Amino acid sequence: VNELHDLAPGYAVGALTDAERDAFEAHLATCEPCQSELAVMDEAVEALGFSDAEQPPDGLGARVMQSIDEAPQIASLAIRRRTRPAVWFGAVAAVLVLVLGAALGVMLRESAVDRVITAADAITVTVPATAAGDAGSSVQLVYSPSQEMGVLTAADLTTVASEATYQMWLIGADGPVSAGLFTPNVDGNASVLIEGVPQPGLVFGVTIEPSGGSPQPTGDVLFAAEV
Amino acid sequence: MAEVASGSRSAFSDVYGLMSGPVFGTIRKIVRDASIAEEVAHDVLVEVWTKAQAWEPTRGSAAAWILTIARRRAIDRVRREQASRDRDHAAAVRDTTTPHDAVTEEVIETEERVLVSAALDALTDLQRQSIELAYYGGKTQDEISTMLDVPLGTVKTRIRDGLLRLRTTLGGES
Repeated sequence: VNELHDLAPGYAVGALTDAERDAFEAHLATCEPCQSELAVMDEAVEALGFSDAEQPPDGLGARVMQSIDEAPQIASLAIRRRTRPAVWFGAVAAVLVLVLGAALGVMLRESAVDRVITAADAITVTVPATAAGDAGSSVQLVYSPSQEMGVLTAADLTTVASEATYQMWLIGADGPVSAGLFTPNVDGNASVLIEGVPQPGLVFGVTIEPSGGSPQPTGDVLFAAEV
Repeated sequence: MAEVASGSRSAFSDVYGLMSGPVFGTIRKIVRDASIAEEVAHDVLVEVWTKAQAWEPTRGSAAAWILTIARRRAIDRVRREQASRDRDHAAAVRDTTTPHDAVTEEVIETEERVLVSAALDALTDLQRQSIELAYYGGKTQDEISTMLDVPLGTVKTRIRDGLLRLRTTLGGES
């Protein structure tokens, strides 16, 4: 139950056990952060599904339309009755979260970040501002070779307009590869997992891009350092 | 989807127009045989109609929900065929090979991977394997962790990172 917050990706690709799936669906009903996370994951699943699309055989459509004429829809009442225990579960989970405090939820979401930062082999790299960046900001890259994960931590970043986002890049011999997007909080602080594996030989950089990110950097590199 | 749930045939026809290609293509990549894929796709699309009222927006997008039903039914079908093959050949197959799983083998097989996942080329090996095993193979995170011999937390992170990257690399196509 205490890891419900990181189940959205597994749910999206169908990698949960039946018990995890039921628990997560109940949890979803009351957890907006998880709904948002799932919406993002589902965009990827849709993109994958559409990239796998093939022209269905002729006649399939006609047969399906004929079948639905004979197949009654299952009434929502029957379905809802079946899912009521799950709704109850959600209510109980919501109360539990309230009782344990909002801090728990934040902690769970940030557990992966914590794991990297507290890893025995964590390496911290200071990422200085370039000429285009704000020298008043402080950006650090922390990565753990054993966990193959990295985290960006930043303080006093300039906030960006809502139609823009910070984007991280790992730059190797093949050019820049997106390492994820982030938006600092109102205080200009950020602490986010990096997509991909930071490792020596790569350069880590940060740009500002239009909302949703760019496949390749279009803005000036504001902070950069060799990993 | 709400209109489909209220019994609108024409709304369902729109859903068919949008989703039959992805549904059929996804199923065919899992079951391979085109006529079995057609049969499974038919059942899946009828199930979308009969269960439309079970779809809830809090549980994600309607398209993803439909694709999930498609994958689940296709994987069930492969497992059922494998089970019946295993029964038929029980005596003959009692050799020294390790226990195998048809879906996983088919997904991992190098040649097949080219067919399944050109879309996944942008991912790291661990991201791609984790997503393939779950998405096309029906494996749970725990099973993937054991199969690939990496910690569960790493599997979860790799699936998430892989999906985020797919969203960036494929996002423009749909």
